[in-house]
Parts: sequence; C-alpha cells; structure tokens
Amino acid sequence: MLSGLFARNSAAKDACSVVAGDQAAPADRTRTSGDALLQALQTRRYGLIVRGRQQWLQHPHFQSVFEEAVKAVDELFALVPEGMVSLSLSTFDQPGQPETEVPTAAFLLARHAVTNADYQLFVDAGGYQQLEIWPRDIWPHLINMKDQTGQPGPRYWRDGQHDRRLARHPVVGVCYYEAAAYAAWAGYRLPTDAEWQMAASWRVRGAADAQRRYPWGDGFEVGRCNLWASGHGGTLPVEACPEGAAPNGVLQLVGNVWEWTDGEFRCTDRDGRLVVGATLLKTIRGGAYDTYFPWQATSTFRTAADSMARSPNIGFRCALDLLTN
Amino acid sequence: MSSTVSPSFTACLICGTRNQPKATVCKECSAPMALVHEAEAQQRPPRIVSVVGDSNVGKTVYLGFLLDMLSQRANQFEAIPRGAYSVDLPQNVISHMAYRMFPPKTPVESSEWNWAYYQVCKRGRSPKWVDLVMPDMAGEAIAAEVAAPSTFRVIEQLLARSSGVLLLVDAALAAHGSAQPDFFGVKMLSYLDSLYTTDRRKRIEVPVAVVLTKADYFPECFDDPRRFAQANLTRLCNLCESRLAKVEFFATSVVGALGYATSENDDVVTSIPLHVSLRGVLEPFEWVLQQL
Amino acid sequence: MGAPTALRPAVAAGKPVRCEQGWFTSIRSPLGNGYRLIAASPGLSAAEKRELVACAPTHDSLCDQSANGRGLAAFRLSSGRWCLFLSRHAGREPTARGGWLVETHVLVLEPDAYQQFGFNPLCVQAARDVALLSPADTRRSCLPPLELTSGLAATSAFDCAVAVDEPEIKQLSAVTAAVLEGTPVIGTVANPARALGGLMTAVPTAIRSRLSISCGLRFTPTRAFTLVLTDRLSHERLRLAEEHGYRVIKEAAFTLEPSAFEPWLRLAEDSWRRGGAAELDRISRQLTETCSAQALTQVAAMWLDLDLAEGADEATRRAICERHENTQALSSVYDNLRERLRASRDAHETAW
Repeated sequence: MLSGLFARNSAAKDACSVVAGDQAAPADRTRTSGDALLQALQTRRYGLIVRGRQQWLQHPHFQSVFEEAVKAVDELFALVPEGMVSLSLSTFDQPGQPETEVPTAAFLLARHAVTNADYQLFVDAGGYQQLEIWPRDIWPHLINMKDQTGQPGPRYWRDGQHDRRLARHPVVGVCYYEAAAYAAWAGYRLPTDAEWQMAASWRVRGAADAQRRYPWGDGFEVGRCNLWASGHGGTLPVEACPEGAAPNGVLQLVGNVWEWTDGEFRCTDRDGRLVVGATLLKTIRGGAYDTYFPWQATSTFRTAADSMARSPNIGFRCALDLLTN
Repeated sequence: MSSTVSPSFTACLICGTRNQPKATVCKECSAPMALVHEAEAQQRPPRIVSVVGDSNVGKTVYLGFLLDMLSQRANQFEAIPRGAYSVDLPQNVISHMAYRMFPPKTPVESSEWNWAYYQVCKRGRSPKWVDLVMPDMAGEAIAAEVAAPSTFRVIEQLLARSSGVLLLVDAALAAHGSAQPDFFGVKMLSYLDSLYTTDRRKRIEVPVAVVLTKADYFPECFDDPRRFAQANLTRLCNLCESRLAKVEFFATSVVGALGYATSENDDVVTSIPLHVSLRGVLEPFEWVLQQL
Repeated sequence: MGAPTALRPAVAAGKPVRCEQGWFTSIRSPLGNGYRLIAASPGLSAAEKRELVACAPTHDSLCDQSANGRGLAAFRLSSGRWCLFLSRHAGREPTARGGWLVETHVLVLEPDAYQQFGFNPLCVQAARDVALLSPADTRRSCLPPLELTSGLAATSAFDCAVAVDEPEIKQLSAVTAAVLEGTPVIGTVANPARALGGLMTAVPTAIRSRLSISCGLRFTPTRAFTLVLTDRLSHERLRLAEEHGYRVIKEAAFTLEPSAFEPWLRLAEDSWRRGGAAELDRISRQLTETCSAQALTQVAAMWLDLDLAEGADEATRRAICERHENTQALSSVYDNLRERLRASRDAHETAW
C-alpha cells in the first residue's frame, strides 16, 4: 500500500531550511508612522483598506493608497470560482459514509499562508491588546497566548519576535483564535471549511463535475508538497513547492502546515456517534510537514484540532470576499 | 549465543529451550523459532531492544510506526525486515491508524505477540548493520511480571537479554497529575535493576531511553523532556539518576489530535486519532542504537 | 430396564463446598489499567495468583464474539488445588480500543471439593451461578471465600448434555476417545459448552480427576490444556496445536480412528442419542478407580446385557447371568451392575 507511492525523500535539501544548532536571529520590529490609513498600508492590512474605504474617502492620499492596496490584493490573493463541495461527515473515510453538499460562492484566497513576517506586523501593532478583534469569551485566555519568553506572540517566538531566518515560513504556534484575530485585524477572514476544500479540489460547477484529489491533480507526488515523505522535517518558505500549486496559483494548500479554517468540526464515527474534543474542535486542512499519510493531506480530508491548540504544525491563510465596485 | 544444541533440536533464541527443528514457536515461551533461523542465516547474533511500558501507554503504536519509518528510510536509516512476520506489526498499526482507529489491545498471551526482526543500518561514512529483535509485548503481561517476577518468564528472559530498553511512560497521564506512570516507571526500573546488576555499587550499563508518549497533549514536554520528567515523574527521575549509567529522556507523539465518541448505551469513550503527526519517534531509538 | 433414559436423579441434599475466589478483568483505576487480578480472597497464595494470571483469559479470548460470550477452563495448579476460570463478556473494553471486556471469575478448590462436583466444571459453574447474585463484590479488592452447594448443581449440568445430530455425536465420540486415551485433543465444535456437557457424561471420574479443560476459549499454548473445545482454528493455531502434540478433531472434517474404547464409546453414543446422558453420567462418576479400556468395555457389555435381560425370557436371562457369573470384575461398578443383574434374575424367578 505504501511502497511505490512515495519513497521518503531522504536527500531533500532546502537552502532556506534552518539548520538545527544555528544561532537564532530575532527579526526587526516593525516601525510605523503616519495616520491610521498610512499605518494600515505599512502593516499590509490591505483588506482593511479596500473593505473599509468609506471611512477614508476624505483622506488626502486615499486614492493612491487605495490603488496600492487593490494592487497588493491582486498580487497576494487569487480567485477561487464558485463551486460545490461534498464535506465528509464521518471520521471513517470510506465510500458510503455520510456527506453534505455545500455550495461555495466565488471568493479570494491568499496565495500563501500567513508568514512570520506578516504576523510580526500584527504583534508589533499590539494585536493581542486590541480586544475588539477577539471574541469576548476568549479574553481571559489571552494571558496564555505567550511566546517562549512570556511575551504576547506565537508559541515558538522569543521576546515577541520571530527568528528572521524563518521570516518567509508560515507562522505556527498560533491557535484558531489568534488566526482569526489576525485575519480580522488585517481586514480579511479565515476561509470556511467548504471554501478551503473548493480551492484545493477545484470542483467547479459544470457537466463534468470533476474534482482533484490534490490541488495539482489526482496523483500524489512527493516533490510537489512538504509532507513527512518529503523528508524536510520542518516548515519551508511559503513560496516553496511551486509545482504543487492549485490552478489559480495558490501554493501549499497541501503540506507544509495544517491550516485553520472557520469551521466547527462536526463528524460522527463509524458507528454514528458524535465525535467531540476536549475543547471546541475547529477544522484544519491540508496536512503538514509531519503528516505521515498522504491520504490525510488530500483536498477532501477533514480533521480538526482543539481550538486553543498552538501546535508547531498548524498555520493559516486568509480569505477575502470579492470586492464590489 | 549458541543457537543449536544438536542436529535434533534447536534452542530458542529467547529462553534457550530445546525445540524440534521444524517447530514454528518455542514450546516454552512461544517466541517464533524463525528468530533462530534468521540469526543463523545472518551469522551474527541479533540484539534485543525491548519496548516496555504499562498497559495503554502506546507501545504497539510507537513500535509499529518506528518500524515503518525505518523501512521508509527515515533519517538516513535503512531497515530490512527479516521474515514476513516482522511486517505484521507495522502493517497492523498502519492499517488501523490510516482509518482513524487505534489498533486492538495486544493480547496477554505471548503466543499472540508480534515479533520483529530487522536489520538496521544508519547510512554514513561507515555504516554498520545491526540485527534487532523487537517484540511487542502486552502491557498487562509486563505489569504482571514486574509485580510478581517469573509470572511471564518470556518477559524475564527477553529483558535479561536486552541490549537496550525503551521505557515508555504516559506523559498525558503524568501531566494530568496521575502518579501511576511514575510508580510504574519506578517498578519497571527496579525490576531491571534486579535483572541486570549483581553488585549494588555498580549502575546499570544497559542504555534506557525514557520515552514520554502522548506528548502532544502537553506540548511543553517536547521543549525539555527531562525537565518535564523531573517535574512530573520525580520518583522515576531520581531512580534513573541513581541506578542508570546511560539514560536519556525523549518526548514523542503520533496522534495530531484526538476526538472522543460516546454512546448513550454505555459509558465507554472511544478515542479516535483524527490524524497522524509524528514527532520524536526516531530519536529515542537512534540514541539507543548509538549506545549499542 | 430399557436403554438409559433421561431420568432426572433425585436431588441430593447439597453439601456446602468452600472455595477461594478472585476476579480477573480489565479496569481503569488509580493503581493501573488493563487486565489483572482485581480482587481475591485471602486464601489464594502468591504462587497461585502468579500461575493463574499467566493464563487467564484476556482481550479477545472468548470464541463467542457476541455480548453473551462465555467460556470456562479448569486446570490443576502447582499447589495441587484446582483452578476454574468462568469467563464472560461484560460490556465494552474500558480502554476504548474496541472489543469486549472479558471478566473472569476465578475459583480455586481443593481436590476433594472439586470431587463433590464430579470433577465437572459445568457443575461448579451451575453452583456458582446460584451462589453469586451479582458481581458487585468486584468493587472490593479483598473477598470472602465462596460457599457453593454441590447437590444443586448436578441436575442443571445434564441439561447441557444434549447432542443434536449424528455428525455431532460422532465428533463427540472421537473427542471422547482421545480423552480416554490420554491424548491432548482439540475439538472445533459449534457449541463448546454443549459439547463439554455431553462429553463429560462419558468420561470416568478417574480421568476427570486429572483432566484440564478449556471450553469456549481460543486455543493458545499458554492454556495448553488436555481437552480444548473451541469454535475454530486458524491455520496458524492449527499448526501450533499440532506442534504441541494435539490431535485436532474438526467439525465435519475428521476420520474416526479405531479405539480400544469402542464398546464404551458406542454406549455413550447410544445414550446421547436417546437422551440418557444422566444415567451415563451416573455410571461414569462411579468409575473412580480405573478407566482402562478393558474395564470400560466390561462395564459397557454389562450395561447392554442388563438392558437385554430386562425383556428376555428366563432361559436367556439365566444364560446372561451365567456369562457374567465367573467374570473377574475389573471395577466396582461392574460388580454393582452384576448384583443388579442377579437381583433382576431373582426377582423374575420369584415372580414365577
């Protein structure tokens, strides 16, 4: 079953991978200046600018800032067309298990997962202190969302800073609420479970009703993604594995890190019993560098993590509703 | 190690009992006689590496994935199973975990255990092949043997012949505040102490890797396994320090996230491994191998 | 007298029998998880506990995979006492890795106590079922010894001894032959408990007193008992069994081998066929001192002649009596049966 499908790439090399034992190098802190609009641009909160443009119409630099934001959104996001997905409702992944059909509207999905550099902007802007972007019942838990040195930040950071060698790597060690808070801060949102699956499976409405097992097609190939079989043993920069892109250019939907979605995991087991977690379960998708089974990294595989889990292999990417003129 | 007593009989690799040449299992300890035949074919004695731990600590899952990872050449390792029976364990574990199920309990009867005989080598400048025998023992049998030595003589003989030990301890239970893992670890080490040392002034030379399983439940475990053990398995740590010459602490996890399913009819909660994310599986084994 | 019929023997006044007990099962507790002896009466020695723990049924040990699965075993401990395992499925396995929880009631009896039950584990089980109302005792780690009543058990055990069809009778006969010959035997049967009930009626006490039994449990070399009745054997287990010197008698796939116990076996088959197992059992239980083929053949011949004499004329009856008059009795049972024959002859002559 396993042999032949993937032989572990023991010789995988990555020039950007951090070599164990090297000295960590903290990234620079973000410094912003100017008013709120200019700061939003500096901190790459493009979603906030384009979606909240009404409040800045009178700003003297609004037009140029807005155009720059739109251009950035155009570069950083890709269109996912409308479609229909079948979400599995069972943890027993066999034919005949219950599913639900969910239509998805067209939307924009980030081409990359959120990086450490991106997230640094959020941390430096005091994102953990802006209570309005966090659910009220999570406020008491903010005190636990600290890095290795006790500063607000992802779990594996130190002194509120990421290792600059990992600047272009996806940020990890963030729970679902941190991912959602970042997305809200930047003017985006997390994709829903169905939207994520649509982006990865590309099940566009049509007579053919075809869907892809992986974003690049149906056959697994170890070189197109970063799973356990790839042999990297850790995250890669978000631009890595370009051969694994989806038709619209979105990278690493499969592999590298699991991705939080805005979906509550509601499934039953093979005997029809509801599956629950120690805390609220949120759906994660796509597999990560330590995902052992390629079939647990397909476009349709649904799994979950505790919403408060700050794991070294879970990151996220943002989504944006289509902009209207 | 003499594997053959006379042309009429073959001595079991584990307990030394004389068996008929065509016997498939030892009549005394139920170890597969294929182990002897393989050892004879390789013309070098295999090393026994024992994976021990309390019931439900994760020995079967750990060993199954370890063997599978080695077969897939993880971390520059190369592993060749000797005999189809050696693949039974990883096959059993993988086929269950792939469908989000834990494998069934390991039977207490030693005749039902899975045995693995692998040739393992780490590729490098001067690769050295080592033959390893690693049985998957039932935790209840281990616990019974530790509680009352000679209850399961096969375990006694296996451990007495072991070149290395991986002592699995449930980090999730320990993190929850249960003292059970600590006490079991102490009992296990005390048992090994009585097996390996005749001179109480000397420490045990057999390398022991203390593997904290289910560490995904308490991720801080990965940051510093020894520190976690010192905080949550104090008795075990103290005994390791006193009696073991070669000991190291590791954290491991196989399950990325756990779900639970219950029904109204019974109180049993079924744990469901939602996905597999391997962490720290190879490192303890690699360390033990380096000590051999 | 006719052929042995299903007579219900008079219920003898039950003698109380004391035995040690324990419970072996899987629980989650602060002291540990998994299968172990969770409770025991103080009379169980450490060595006995060690011995029974090494072979007690655990996960997936019962043949019957339904919720009502049951099994039993009886064997002699090194201490000389008899250990009985009375196992059943008791809900789901608590460690949530699937399968049923196997709960085993362990009984340890002195040999003369076991003899009160005719060395028949089914009789002990029946007595235990009456004595034990609920397993609530398992909550206590220290149990009192158990008091069983021997007489009550006798009747209910015979209810099991009903062979259904001819192939089953023949298979039972083949297994019985192996037991009588002292050969370790495995019988794969549809209903192990029923098979055991029937088989025990044809096994003399002299053999029962040293017969280790496994019934309804999967075969494993750690429970390499003399008589194993199980539902099926995989290829691996079949090979294991053969390596351990077992004769395997599979349901619908065995050959009847000639046996020195042929007359006795024919008698047993006839009894099972006609529902006369109770009377057969009574005879078997009386055979305490010998179980040689000649002795059993002698008893079987006498039994048939008793039946023949009942409906015969005076001359035939006298000839039958004379045939046995000078025969050297190889067992007291034969002597008793010969007395019955004489009494029957005398009674007829008096009537004339």
